[in-house]
Amino acid sequence: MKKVRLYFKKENGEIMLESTLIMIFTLIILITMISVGFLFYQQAMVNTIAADMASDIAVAYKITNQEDSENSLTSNALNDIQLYRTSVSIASMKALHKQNVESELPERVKLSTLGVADKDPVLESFEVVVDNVGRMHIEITISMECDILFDGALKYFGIIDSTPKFTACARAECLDITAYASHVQFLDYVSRKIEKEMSNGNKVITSIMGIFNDVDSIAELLLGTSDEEEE
Amino acid sequence: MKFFTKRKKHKYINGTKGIISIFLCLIMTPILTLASALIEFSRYQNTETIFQEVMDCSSLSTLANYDAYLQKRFGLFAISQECNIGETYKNSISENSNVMEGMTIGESVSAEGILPLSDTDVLKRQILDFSESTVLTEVILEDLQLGELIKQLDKLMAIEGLLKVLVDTNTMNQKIKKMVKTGEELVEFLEQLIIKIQSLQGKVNEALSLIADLYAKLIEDEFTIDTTSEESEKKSYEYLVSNYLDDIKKIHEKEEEVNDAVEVVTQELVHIPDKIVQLNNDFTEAQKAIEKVLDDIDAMSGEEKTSSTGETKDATVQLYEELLNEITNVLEDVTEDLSDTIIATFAAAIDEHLEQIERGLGLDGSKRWNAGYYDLPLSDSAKDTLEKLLSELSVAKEISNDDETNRHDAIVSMLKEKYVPDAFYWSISDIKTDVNDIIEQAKVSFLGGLKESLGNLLTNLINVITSLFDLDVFYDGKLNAYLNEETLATLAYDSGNNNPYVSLLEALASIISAVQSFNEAIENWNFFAVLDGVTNLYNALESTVRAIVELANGTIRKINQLVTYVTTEDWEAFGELLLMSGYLVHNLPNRTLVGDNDIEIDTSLAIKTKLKGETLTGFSYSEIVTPQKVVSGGVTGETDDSEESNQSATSAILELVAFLDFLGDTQTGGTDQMFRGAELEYILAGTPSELMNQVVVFFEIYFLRLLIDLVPIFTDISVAKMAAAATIASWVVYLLEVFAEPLCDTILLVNGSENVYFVKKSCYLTAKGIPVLVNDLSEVLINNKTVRQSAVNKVNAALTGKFDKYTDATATFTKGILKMDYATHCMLLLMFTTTEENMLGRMANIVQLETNYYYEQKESQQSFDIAKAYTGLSATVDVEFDSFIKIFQSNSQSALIKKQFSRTNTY
Repeated sequence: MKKVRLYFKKENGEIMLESTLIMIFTLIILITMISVGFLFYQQAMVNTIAADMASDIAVAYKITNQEDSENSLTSNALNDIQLYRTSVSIASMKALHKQNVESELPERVKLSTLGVADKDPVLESFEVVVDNVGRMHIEITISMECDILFDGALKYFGIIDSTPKFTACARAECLDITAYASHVQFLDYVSRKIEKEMSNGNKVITSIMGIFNDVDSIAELLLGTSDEEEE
Repeated sequence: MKFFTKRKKHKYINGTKGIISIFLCLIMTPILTLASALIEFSRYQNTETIFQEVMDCSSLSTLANYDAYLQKRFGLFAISQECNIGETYKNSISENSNVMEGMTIGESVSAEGILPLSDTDVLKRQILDFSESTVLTEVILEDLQLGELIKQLDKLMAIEGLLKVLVDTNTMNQKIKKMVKTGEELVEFLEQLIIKIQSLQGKVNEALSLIADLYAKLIEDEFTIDTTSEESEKKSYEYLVSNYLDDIKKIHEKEEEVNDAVEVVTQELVHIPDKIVQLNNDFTEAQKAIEKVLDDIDAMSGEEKTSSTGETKDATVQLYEELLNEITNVLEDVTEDLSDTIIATFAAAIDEHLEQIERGLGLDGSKRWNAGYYDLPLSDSAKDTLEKLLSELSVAKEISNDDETNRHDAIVSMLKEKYVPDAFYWSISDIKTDVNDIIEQAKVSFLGGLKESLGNLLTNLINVITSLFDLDVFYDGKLNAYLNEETLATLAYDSGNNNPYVSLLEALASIISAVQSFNEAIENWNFFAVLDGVTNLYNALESTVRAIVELANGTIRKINQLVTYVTTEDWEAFGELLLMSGYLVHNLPNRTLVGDNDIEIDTSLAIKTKLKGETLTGFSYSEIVTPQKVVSGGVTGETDDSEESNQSATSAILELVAFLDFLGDTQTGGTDQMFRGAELEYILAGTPSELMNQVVVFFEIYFLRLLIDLVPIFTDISVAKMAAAATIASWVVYLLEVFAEPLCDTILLVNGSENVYFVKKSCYLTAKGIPVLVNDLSEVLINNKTVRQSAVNKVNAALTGKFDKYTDATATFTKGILKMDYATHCMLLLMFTTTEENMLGRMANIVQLETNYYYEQKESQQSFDIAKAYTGLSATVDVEFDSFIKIFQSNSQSALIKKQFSRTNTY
């Protein structure tokens, strides 16, 4: 009995025992922190990429085939600028920009990701939202699924259920000075025109109807008559 | 060393105090290092994003210093040249970067302008951006009523039909020329035949004369044939042959000549039927060619005619058919006369003549002279021949007894009377007379018909053209700038210096000249001169067509491009071309905007022309700044009001050609160095001379109208009526109409008339159209001081009442489709003839000239260089980031992260 009491009173191995206990808890906490850090980093990275891409498109909205928007503008890029890009050609501009984003996104992610992904990042949505005449903004949502360091621990503790998916949405106002100026100029032109018409007698309605009739006849010529369509 | 004894060393190593700290350090160090690295990485990415936005903000701040004049005048954006791009950007980014803590911007901040307006791609984009709404609306609302225009252009795509007409007309010309040539050859052949017949007639007379001489000698020698015995008779013949052998030989030789002449005439006669058949064939081919051309014209304009006036088509075709029938009748009459009358009579006379000759000389085929005839003893046949020859000797003797002095002639008369029938002489002279008569008859029917039908039509038409050319409206003398070498050196784009219309002008002059010669030949009843006139007209027409083809070759690429846009339905490219052309037309002044008042001279001695109108940006043309410097001693191009011109159209054109040559050669001239009033003309023509540019555009519009007016000319019943009145010279009337009608349109257009229709339905130069033309001309010319009043009066006199006799009661002057003014015609020319490179390059030159003069006039006296009118900005900045934890930095002076950022921004 005395021997047993003496055994328990000995302090040999105390440090080993304590350190083992502390190490276990410390490592668990640290690993969790590292994993959460990676998690936040990846999220920040996706946010940054979304913001970068939205900004790059918005600042040179008119350029749809610029290979390196940061360094130079080629004559090809100028020649491919579309007309009516802030009005009737918005859909076409959107399609071209979306195509560019989809092709650039994987490359852009590779530059800064610290995760391991089996799949390419996905462009969830790409919208060109018209705010006013000649003014628009870009809205991009991207997502990516990737494994990060120690994500198994996060799963073990129930912090995440499966492979983490990072989603980010970014917006940027489109900048197209010449197109916007063209709209402003057009409004100025129309107001002067109306003023002139008013001074010559009220022919405004006639003029406006004339425009509609002409546009209608052009559309009819280019697209065919409604009868042809029915056929 | 004593301290570290073995015991102590053992105790230190086996000690456990502080072991937990060591453990923690070992574990925390890599973990904290990793966490810090992640934080720095994240910071870097955020900073990069934010700094790019900072750069964009700075670039936009710099771009905000745009050139206000360029924007207001041309609607173009470029960084003002009063702004130092590098400094402005540096200041801006320095201020903006303050928002970021821990970031240092290095010394290396650079920003430079890119994409200057002198780059035609840049200029094009800015023009298109400006134009996409404003110009399109203007074009639809004011200019084209585009939908209707495209429909009309679709109809004009029947241009293939027009080309077919031209090709078939050329074939028709060749056929008619061939027919005329065959006719001329036949006439020449007949004339040669008459000469040969006359030669034959002369030889017969000589032969008879020789026989008469022999008779005379025999009578004088009292020669008789002793027929008492056979022997004595033989001796008499031997005596005759031996003593008169030379005379007999002469008769024989002459008879051989007669035979040869007869042979020649006979051989020529054989060719006559072939030549007549050839003439008939040529006529038939020409007739088919004419009918083909008429069918082509009918097919080309059939839809238009039937859709508008159903009766018109029938009436026109009927008129053409009448014309053809008339030509057919004339030619058939001539060929019939030649075949039935001349040839039959001539052939009969020749046959009879030959028989008589042979009979008269005793040469009836089997008893022809032969070598044995001269030898003795005589052969029986020779004896028989001599016997026949002498059978008339008694008759001759009786004649000689009556009158010895005229014995020879009397014997010849007797022989002629006996052996050569009157028909022989009568028929030859009759043939000659008949041929002459037919030629004369052809002349009379051809020329008389022409003269009667034409009346003064050709003269009147030529007078109209003369008076139109005499108006001197090819250019406005007030707009006479000329860019010297010094000014041209400041321009980025070499726009060239040539006038392709000189060759066309010369060709037109030759046509007018040929028509005048043709008309004079008709007036003077000169048949062959008329034929020459026809040939000259075709040659002139051929050279005109060549000139037009050469002209078209110069712009064929552009036209092909335009056609490709339409055929491939590349409406985007077509739209861009339309917008660019519309932009230029509505933002640059042209000659029709020059005010009624001639000029105003301001205090700085700069010459100003008052301009009406404004750009689409609302900038008044009269505000365009005038150059301060005035070049003296240049070509003014002003018309002398006192000069009373009375020259012909040909000389007026040639004078214009000489003036253009002079303008092209001279290196000085003009009152100023800027195209203030005729900028649009510069875009189209591109020469350094404002006068030359106006003339070139005048003829470009004329050329365009010439093509467009072909349809109304060939479909207008009134023109057909006039042409029908001219019978076989109808094509000359059409020719004059083709060249004169577009001249009327062009003169109206360049003087600012708004009454000219793009697609006309009626022509001015008809009885119904002339009052309308006089009215339209009066509207635009009477108040125009650049045109002499006397010249206007002359036009009115040439027009009024001269064509009344060709009035058709059913015809009316109907308006056309799409009223188009001068500017809109220029827009079409830009689309059809001017290359994009020329359009944009010349526009850049205009921007350079105008803006430079604007800044020169400002107090700052700053110049403007379009090559420095940047529309974008390229910036590069070196940035250093401080690290979040300084421990990673080797020392406090150098940052952990250095990065160079580059951004490009444009308007």
